[in-house]
Amino acid sequence: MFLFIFIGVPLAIAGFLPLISRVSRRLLPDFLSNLCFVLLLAASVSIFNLWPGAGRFSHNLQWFGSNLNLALALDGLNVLMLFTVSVVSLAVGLFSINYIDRYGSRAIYYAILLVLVASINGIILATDLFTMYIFIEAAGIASYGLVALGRTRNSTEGAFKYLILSGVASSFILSGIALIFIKTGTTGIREISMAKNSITELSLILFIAGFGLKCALVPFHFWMPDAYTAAPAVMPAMSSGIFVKTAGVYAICRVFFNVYGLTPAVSSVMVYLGVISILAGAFLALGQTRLRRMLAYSSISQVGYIILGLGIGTPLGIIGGLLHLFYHSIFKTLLFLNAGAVEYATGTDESVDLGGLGGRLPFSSGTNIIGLLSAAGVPPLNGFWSKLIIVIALIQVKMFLYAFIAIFASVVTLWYLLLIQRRVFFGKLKESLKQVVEVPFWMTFSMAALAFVCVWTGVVFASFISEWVLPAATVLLDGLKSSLNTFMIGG
Amino acid sequence: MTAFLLAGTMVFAALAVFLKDMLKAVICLLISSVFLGIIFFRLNAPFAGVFEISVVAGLIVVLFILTISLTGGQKSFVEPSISLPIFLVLFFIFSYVLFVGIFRSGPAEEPVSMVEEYSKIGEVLWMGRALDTVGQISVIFAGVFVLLCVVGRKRDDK
Repeated sequence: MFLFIFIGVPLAIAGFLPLISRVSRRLLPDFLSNLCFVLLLAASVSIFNLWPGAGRFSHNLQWFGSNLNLALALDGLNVLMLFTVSVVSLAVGLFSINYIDRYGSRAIYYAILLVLVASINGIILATDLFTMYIFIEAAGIASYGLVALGRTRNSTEGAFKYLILSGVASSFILSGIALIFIKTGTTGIREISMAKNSITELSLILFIAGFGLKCALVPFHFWMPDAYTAAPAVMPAMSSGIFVKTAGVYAICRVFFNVYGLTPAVSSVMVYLGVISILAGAFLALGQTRLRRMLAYSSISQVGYIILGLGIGTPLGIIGGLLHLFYHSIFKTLLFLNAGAVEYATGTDESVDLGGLGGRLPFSSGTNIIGLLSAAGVPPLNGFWSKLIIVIALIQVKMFLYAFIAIFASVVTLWYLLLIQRRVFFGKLKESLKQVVEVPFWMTFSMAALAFVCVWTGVVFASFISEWVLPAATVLLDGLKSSLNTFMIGG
Repeated sequence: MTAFLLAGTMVFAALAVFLKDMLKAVICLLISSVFLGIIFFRLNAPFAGVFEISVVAGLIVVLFILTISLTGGQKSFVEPSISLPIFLVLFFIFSYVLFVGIFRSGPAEEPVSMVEEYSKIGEVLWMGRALDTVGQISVIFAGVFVLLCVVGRKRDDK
């Protein structure tokens, strides 16, 4: 029953919130939603402590001794993903307490956020590709809602573009699942990995295109900058922080490592897509003046690092990729929340109109520096270690050119992020910004907490790898065996 | 008859995409869904047919029309002349693929009895795929909340 908390509790509270919005417009939605996020974080840490540290467990839920036929699976990768989702969603939930006032009904906003979290947890815990697809769709619909929360024509246009491209991605994924079903007669992850000849080239291509669109890899990236620029800051924080990681990267991991088994061809495609994304994302970010647009391109580049690391397929590469997945979730959420804080305080995220805000927004400026240095991979912050491991993994397999590109793109990242920091926070304060004051407490608290996580997980990176990332990497390294050695508990 | 229904489904689905007038597009979607629902019935899949006609042709079309009326979409549109050639090209491509598929698929299987199918669908839904039902609840929740958000915004704007 414990695992179902991750889906059932946010979904139940989401259904309840619009009903209580008549009684309490502010306090109860804020309190209940954030209580739920705290509960999920506590549950993810408890699961980490309860989980034996190895193996994949499939749990068929029971209620008073009878089977509910709700099968959920837990392994090292799930544990890491659930923790990542819980940390990011709590940070965004706390940030929203002050931020979301200008975006309509608080109860509806939190309800959408909770459905998004429940669906993302559903993607992670699903034991079946079709179930995973349904939760990807649910999370996608909730994401369009978050994009459309912005009250401008651009946000509606961004949401529409996102809707259409996400629909295209979903149709690719569904077609891939249908092809597998035709071949094997099942959509269960374990059953497909047991079936012989389940691989069809067409389904692989469909999955690469579908999941590539979901995680905005180049050349499937064009929805991301528009959607992220148009939406309120909490949407890109949630999307870049966790949705892209689960509906894109996690699904790629599950399908290509545990369902198909990583073949040299898929590995090469992942490496190529990763390298192209790293370079294209970094260079496209250089020319941007709007904070969120630049961060969107930066996300494309950073997701490229994750895919590159995973695509190498060696133990070190996979550890680097998964470590960067967690670290990027933290520092990119922080950077998007910072951009939201700047926009909240000044009314714009156009860097050309900003300047000298360091004195007016000291906390936002400080946490932004930590976030950007992490993103650029400056030691001892967390982004440094994950990029270092990926580069070492590339050198290990003699991919020297790609290692050079990874280092070079990291320098470009530092360049454009410092440029933005200088434009927005340093220099002379503009006349029009003299009335600006620091953002309210919960926004500052949320950003400070994420900045602390950036520093702390960078300092204790070795123990973080051994306790959290290594079991997750083992799941991917085990490949097909991981799904085959699933232990059934209950029912 | 099936070929006629399939062609009708595709024609109206394509029109739903190409027409600029939202209301006309929604009506085309409705007709396309009805055709598809009839195909499901003819293929002995009554549950799929009922869902298709009630949910897609009924509920979703009502939601679309509601949204169009709320956002004031009933303006007069000049349909671009490029729509028709694109549609015709796509129509012939899809028709070709479809008919090749039909000719290659061989004779149809014997239909299962209705009673057998009822018990099978119930079993699949409640015994085998209960988590999918939870996923569907998430989809419905997400859709309703997004709609409430958009409708609320419209009210605020007024």
